[in-house]
Amino acid sequence: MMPKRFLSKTKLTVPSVKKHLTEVRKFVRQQLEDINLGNVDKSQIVLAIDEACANAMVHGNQGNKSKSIDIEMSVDTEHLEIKISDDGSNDFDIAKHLSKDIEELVKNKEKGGMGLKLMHSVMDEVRFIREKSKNVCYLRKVLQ
Amino acid sequence: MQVKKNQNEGYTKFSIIGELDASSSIQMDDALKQALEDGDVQMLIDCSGLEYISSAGLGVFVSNIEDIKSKNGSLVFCDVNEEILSVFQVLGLDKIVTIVKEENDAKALFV
Repeated sequence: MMPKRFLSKTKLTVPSVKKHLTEVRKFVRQQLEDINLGNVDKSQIVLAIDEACANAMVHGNQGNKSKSIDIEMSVDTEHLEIKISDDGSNDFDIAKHLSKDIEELVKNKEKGGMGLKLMHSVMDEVRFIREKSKNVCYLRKVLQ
Repeated sequence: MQVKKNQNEGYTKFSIIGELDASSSIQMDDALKQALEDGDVQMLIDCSGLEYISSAGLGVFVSNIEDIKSKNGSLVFCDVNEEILSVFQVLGLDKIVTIVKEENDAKALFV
């Protein structure tokens, strides 16, 4: 079997500071530029990655500004794969924090609790794993 | 991101310019909370200059809806582009808040 040929594989590292999410989105938009997807699909992928990165900064690295997160994007003709890694401990298992209904969030006046739902709605696969002392959020989208 | 606040007859308009994300959401939250404190509870969110919104940005509106309603206020969004609307729809927020095409359509709702 022929190995899968990646058309593009890129990596960005940013400090674990929320203002750097702008840089993350710019990087992701650049990688998506030549992919044959509509604007809404592309903007939703940018959103899913942004949510994963915000989670990595806030929950993974717990807002520690001296830490960083890595974003690796691989694009081939059929798939888009993204790995977001943080340096946090494995104490906080975000996968166990299931999203609540929007009505419940409104009633409880909650600001958070929607990011994971967005990620699952947009991507075909969302996984959280522990790899080489890092928390890794793995996102995958099938390109049609 | 910038939030511009304008007092119009019958409602307060907030024009968001730029990207509303985890970093800038506190600024929007402060603006809404201040308006609630001042009794400006008929709110129009003008999204014509809004380029991006994340769940943290939407969370600002979600967390203030109950307080706005409890003061007999309204939260209406106008000029929402296709990309932003798709985020509202994924979360079901389009069923909770009122979204109109443009500012003129909103005016009747604040009477």
